[in-house]
Amino acid sequence: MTTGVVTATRSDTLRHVQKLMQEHHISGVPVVEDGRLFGLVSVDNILRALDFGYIEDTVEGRMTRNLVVLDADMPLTFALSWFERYDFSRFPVLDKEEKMAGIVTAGDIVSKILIEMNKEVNKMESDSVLAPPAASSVPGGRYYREFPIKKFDFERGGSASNEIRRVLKERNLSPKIIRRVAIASYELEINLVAHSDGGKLSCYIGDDKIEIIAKDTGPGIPDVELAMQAGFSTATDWIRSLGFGAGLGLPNVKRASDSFDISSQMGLGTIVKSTVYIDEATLKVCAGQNAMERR
Amino acid sequence: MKFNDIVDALDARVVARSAAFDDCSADSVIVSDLMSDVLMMEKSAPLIVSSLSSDQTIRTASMVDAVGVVIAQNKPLPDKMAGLAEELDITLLHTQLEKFECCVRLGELLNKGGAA
Repeated sequence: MTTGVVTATRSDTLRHVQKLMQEHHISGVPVVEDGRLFGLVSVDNILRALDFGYIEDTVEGRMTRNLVVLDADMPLTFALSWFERYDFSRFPVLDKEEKMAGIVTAGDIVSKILIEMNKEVNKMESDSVLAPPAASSVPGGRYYREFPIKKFDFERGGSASNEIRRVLKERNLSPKIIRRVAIASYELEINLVAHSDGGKLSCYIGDDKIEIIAKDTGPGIPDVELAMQAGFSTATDWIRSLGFGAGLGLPNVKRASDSFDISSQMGLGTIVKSTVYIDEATLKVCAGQNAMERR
Repeated sequence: MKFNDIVDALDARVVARSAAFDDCSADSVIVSDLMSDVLMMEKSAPLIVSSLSSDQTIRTASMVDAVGVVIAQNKPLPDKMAGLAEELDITLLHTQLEKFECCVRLGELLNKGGAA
């Protein structure tokens, strides 16, 4: 995103904006007063003003008012999709107070993605040398695995829960138990993606229980009791457009769990633990299965 | 409801075909664009009808053991959605019908005794 953008006010003339465009070699000037975005003057607006002879008019009645804007905390991949959806070459970006934070162009996004891709490739190369085994498991025995989860990584969000579900299915646990663990795990994973600064989802499968723990590095939940109420959510519109943020995530996790714990500290992060006990009937099925395998 | 009947009833295009496409039956239907709502429902062998054309619709379907997903209202499908449906072995259908019309036709199909 480009910050420190050249702006105009509503009382400026279009002639003044035309000069700003020439001086700064830009093709669009946002109209901003006290941080609030009122509209945008594009080259097209200026060309029409020259054609129809109102170049000395003030910006207020001639600017483009119906703007599509981006939120400052939107992930780049999401912003990129807006360039496909709308035929614009730039989007104003607003912060959480809905004040103008900057302008983003397709070029800004492509260069940032290239930098991030290079970082990721370097990280993958070093990880492939240094990475310890990700999972510890003996067939049919205890299992523990941690999955790193990145902020706003909706593309891979759910893949850790899918792996956990696969491992549980391999162990022939009852479909009901697998479904409860999968729901708790998936909601916690999506919470890490959508609401945290990133963290880890871990899964422990013991003899009598399955524990899913989501631990993040921030920002923390200001009011945990409120966050547990069905329907309460701090999700932004773009998170909601992905099908989440209805305020049902944590209540869903609690409902799916036999035991549920949550603790959160602002600035430090949140830990949520969901435990599902493997009931006696399931244990018998597993024991029978293991006995058959030993024969 | 068998998939062949569902495809006919919804004038749907088969985007991804699960291994059990010919044999499995959808016993129930969940219609929602909110994935947390889908995760709250406890229905057996559900078919999910949604206009949320996203990878997360497929992942959610997998979590609730859904037999398939119908993307309604002719919503364009993201590039990787078909591949993910195949990877997770979930049938993915695409239809021009609105969700309400899908519900009406699936309801008729269920009432006809199309359910297993």
